[in-house]
Amino acid sequence: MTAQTTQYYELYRGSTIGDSLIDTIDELINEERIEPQLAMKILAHFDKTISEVLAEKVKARLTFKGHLETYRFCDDVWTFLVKDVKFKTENTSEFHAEKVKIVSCNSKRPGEL
Amino acid sequence: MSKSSVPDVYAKVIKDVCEASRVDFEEGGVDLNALEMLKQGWQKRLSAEHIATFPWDPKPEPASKPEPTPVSSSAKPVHTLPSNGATNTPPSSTSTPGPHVKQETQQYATQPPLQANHAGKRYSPTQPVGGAERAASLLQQQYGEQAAAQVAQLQQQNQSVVAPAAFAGSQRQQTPYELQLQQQQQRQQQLEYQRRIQQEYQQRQQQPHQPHIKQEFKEEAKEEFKHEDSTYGYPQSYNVNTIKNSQVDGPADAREEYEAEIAHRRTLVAQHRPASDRLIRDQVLASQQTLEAGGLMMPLGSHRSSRSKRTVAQRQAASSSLSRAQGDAPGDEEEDEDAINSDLDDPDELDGANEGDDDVTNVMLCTYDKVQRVKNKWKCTLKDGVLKVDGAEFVFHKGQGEFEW
Repeated sequence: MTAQTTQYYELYRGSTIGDSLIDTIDELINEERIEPQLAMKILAHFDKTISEVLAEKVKARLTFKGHLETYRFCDDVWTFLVKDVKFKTENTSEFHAEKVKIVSCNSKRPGEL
Repeated sequence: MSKSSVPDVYAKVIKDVCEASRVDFEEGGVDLNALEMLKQGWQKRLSAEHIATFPWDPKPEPASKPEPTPVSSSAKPVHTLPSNGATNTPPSSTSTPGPHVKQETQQYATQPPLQANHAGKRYSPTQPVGGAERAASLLQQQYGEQAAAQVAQLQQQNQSVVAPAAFAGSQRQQTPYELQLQQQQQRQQQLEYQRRIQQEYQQRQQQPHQPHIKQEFKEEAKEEFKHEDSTYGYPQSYNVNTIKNSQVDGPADAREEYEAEIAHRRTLVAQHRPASDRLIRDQVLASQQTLEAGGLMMPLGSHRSSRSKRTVAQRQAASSSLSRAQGDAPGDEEEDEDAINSDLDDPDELDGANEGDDDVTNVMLCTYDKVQRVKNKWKCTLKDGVLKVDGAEFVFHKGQGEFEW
């Protein structure tokens, strides 16, 4: 992340909503409706928007337990592979997953307090 | 965490992204219809994932049975045109077709007795009944004396054709239903032929100096005469095999060139489409690899090849001004010898882990506040995450994880 402009993590581009956006952009580029440079700007807006919405609009809390199979910390990014995970939420009931991959960036960006 | 908030969150994200991008679209001189298409396509793809019911999804309609096909429903009145002759029921009197079909049915009512008389003769659905005579009459109308020779030839061929047919068809007997099917096919062929004749006649009148049309028609007429015809005296059928599929109003070469060009363009698109498709997606995947310090989790055996590919993708990403995450730029473009691999990694374990990664669709993308470890007990404090588990999506503001390694 550069210090010139405030940039946001591109982490969420791997989510379903990000994936859908990328596929749609790909299609528009293929149809020559938009330029790749414009596509990059759209994705940048997406990074910013989703970070802000998750930080400001979502209030839910989540707890989970499992067996940690793999952990990695590199370039300020934690990656966990957790097996036999049980999730608990405030409102919904528990649900279970055989395997979950957790990719987590530092919430405190370089240069911030 | 409330699952019901996911559609609202996603809807807001889409709305805000589109609003923020509007300025970029206008500055780039791009039609705002493209922005609308982006929004619609994005929503459509999200809906296709079936992770939640989104605000833009249409309300589920009451379960309605699909319309039964005309073939399956015998109670429905059969409104199919003669072009679907095979689907019409044999007893035409019981159905309620349009007047056009009815008239023809009545008109052809005399055919079964005629065919009964000629039951010994071979009858094929594809062969005309009196088509030669019809062609002859039309030729005479349009060309007069010029066609006299061809008409005579036609009549001679009819006579010569009937004789061998009589021997070949003696064994075949047709049911009334089959006969009616054949009649309907003939009616269809006759309609097509009439339509084409009219078109040619009109064009001939408009452009009298087009000898190639006339020649083509004559050639077609000649082809008719060569085929076997029955002598049932049925004037309104035509052998569809003799009709050329190409248009008569112009040289056939133009159409062939056109089709060749179309085929060529399609092959070009097919060749280049895979490359151009998912262009942005590949770049984003490359950035994700760098985000995850990609390559370290891969088996040692495939590390170099994947790393070189990733390097290329990263260079492409850099050239297209794709921003990278967390200062991983310096190390990624170095040679493979500088890769910080650990020889202690067990390839088998990595393989198992990576294969699981490929299959696992359960991913949590979030930020972390704190990650602690005491011996083999890990505790993580996470924030602002998106979780996808077994096809279901969740979002959370704060998360607490406890693992045992």
